[in-house]
Amino acid sequence: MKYDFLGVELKEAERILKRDKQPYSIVRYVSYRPYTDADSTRVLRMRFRNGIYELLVGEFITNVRTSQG
Amino acid sequence: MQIKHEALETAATKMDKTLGVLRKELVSIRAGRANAQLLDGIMVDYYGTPTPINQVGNIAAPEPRLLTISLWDASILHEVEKAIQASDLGINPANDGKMIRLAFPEITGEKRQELVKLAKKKTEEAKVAIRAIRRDANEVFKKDKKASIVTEDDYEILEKEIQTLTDKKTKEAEEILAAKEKEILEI
Repeated sequence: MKYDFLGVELKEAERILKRDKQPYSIVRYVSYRPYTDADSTRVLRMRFRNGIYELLVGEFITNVRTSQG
Repeated sequence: MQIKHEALETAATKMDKTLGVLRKELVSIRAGRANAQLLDGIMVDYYGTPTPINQVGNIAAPEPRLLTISLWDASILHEVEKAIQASDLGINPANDGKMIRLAFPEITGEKRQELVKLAKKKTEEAKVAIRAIRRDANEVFKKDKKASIVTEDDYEILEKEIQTLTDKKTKEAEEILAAKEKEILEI
């Protein structure tokens, strides 16, 4: 596979695939306990099937506020 | 954007496990034909350690109604016989000092019908379990729809997917039963 988007923001992965004119599809993964305050959609898994890149994406919290501020 | 829900994956795994249990249960229904898997689950006291019978010797079915167990260690012959007698196999083992022979009697037509009934009951239980798994998944989808985690369209897709999965696994259960029924009624 030409690309490695693991952990990359969906928007960024889409931008690169669009730039390279590669066909792709997005599958949103919903877990049992999804974050309600997620701020980032990132690539969890990617596969190339029937000439199409399939991106499995999940939602994450990336702005973590710690006790140290 | 397509959707993949963890509950759907869990449901598929659980349904497969249910079918695995059904297969195991149906194998233990003795259809007259000798089958090494009939001895699965029988434990032998091997120098104080409970050991599966298939690990203490070589099990073979030289004839359709005969199972032989050639023990690696002939000194535990009586322990193995005791374990077979204590199991619900209902077969009395015979031995020649080295090898244990289990002769399976021919079963009557009436008994065959009883076994078919039992197999059907086990399959029905598996189908009920599969439907319960579907219900659990649907409840998760409903909850997520209510919490706006999944959209109305996604909910419909997920509902359809779980139904397709349920139909597929129910059909598989019926196929397992059909094969067992054929085996039981085979004379």
